[in-house]
Amino acid sequence: MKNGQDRDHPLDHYLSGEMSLDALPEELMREEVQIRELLEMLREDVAAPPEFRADVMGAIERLSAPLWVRAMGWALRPRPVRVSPAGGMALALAASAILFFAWPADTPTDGGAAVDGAAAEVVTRFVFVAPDARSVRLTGDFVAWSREGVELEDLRGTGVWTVDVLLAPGVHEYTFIVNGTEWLPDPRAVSQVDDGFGRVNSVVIVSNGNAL
Amino acid sequence: MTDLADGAVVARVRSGDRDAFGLLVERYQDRMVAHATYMGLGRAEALDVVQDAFVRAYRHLDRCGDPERFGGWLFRIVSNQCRTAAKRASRRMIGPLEPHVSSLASEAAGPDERLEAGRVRERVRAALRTVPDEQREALVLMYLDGLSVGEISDMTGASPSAVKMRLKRGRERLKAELAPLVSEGREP
Repeated sequence: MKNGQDRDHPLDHYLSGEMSLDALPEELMREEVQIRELLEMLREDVAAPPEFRADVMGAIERLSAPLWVRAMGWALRPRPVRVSPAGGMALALAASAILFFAWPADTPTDGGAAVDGAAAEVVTRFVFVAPDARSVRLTGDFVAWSREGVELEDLRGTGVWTVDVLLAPGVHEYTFIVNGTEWLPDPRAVSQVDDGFGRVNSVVIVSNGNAL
Repeated sequence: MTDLADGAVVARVRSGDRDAFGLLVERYQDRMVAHATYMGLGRAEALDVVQDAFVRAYRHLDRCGDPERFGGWLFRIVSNQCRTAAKRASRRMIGPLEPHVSSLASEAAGPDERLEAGRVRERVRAALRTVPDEQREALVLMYLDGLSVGEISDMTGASPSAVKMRLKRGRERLKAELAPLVSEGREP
């Protein structure tokens, strides 16, 4: 049996912690020591620099910075961004081709709860086409990535699930949860970004009066 | 506050104490930067990846199911980011290996020995880069981060037997790449 497939091989027991290095057959022990020595050579000065903590906290602080600062930072920062093949065209045709749209929320004028200086939230429509889905939910940074999220409805039974959500102006990441388990990005989003957890998030940019 | 357990720190951050997150950064930054570097990223890229991982961890702290094991959760984020970065860098040219290196020179005393040690180090680094992602990750986590098979299993989500298989295959690949340095007749 090949070395890598033999579960009774001493190396298997050694890797499991059931056998000490000294107990390995001599040849295997020598090989293991050599590999350890070689990999140990990669240990060098790999500590974070002194300013690292401040840099990270600064980046976190900027998360709550004004919209234009965040949008600029998001747009200018090098990062893996996938734009659909028709991305350029989609932008040009955004008004008609993109299936979510937005308009300014009604701002109460009498006895309302408008907050001085706060940008009005914007009604943003999310659409997901899933003819075979039993349920579709929307989650994103605007609901703290809650699994409950916001439920979409298939009002006409055609598999086109929609929901309108009030969003603050800014850059938002979101995704859809289909049938309670499957996290899927929005194929119609202007861009997709890696979420750092092995999945992809969709991005919507909401400004006063519109969403992309 | 520096002696607070991870779970308590995470709870403080979740309750709105943003500065408390700095404690988690300080606690894990060196290990994470080291891990990203061992995974083959350059210094600048490793720092970027780890910073981005911390920011993502902060933004998605509600997704951390077991705050007491914040470190493992963060490790997974960094690992994912490393894989993404490695894919981005996959087009980079990797230089040919040196044909022969005669000594490890681990205790380099003079310029020649230091030069030799540097050449070996570069060779090991290049060899490690040729190991497939999952196997390289397992090797780094075990040999350089000092985790056990069980801990690697918890961290990566792979079963312990799958982790051992990755380690064995990774070792074989590394041995093949470093054949002149790892040979049956060679004294450690």
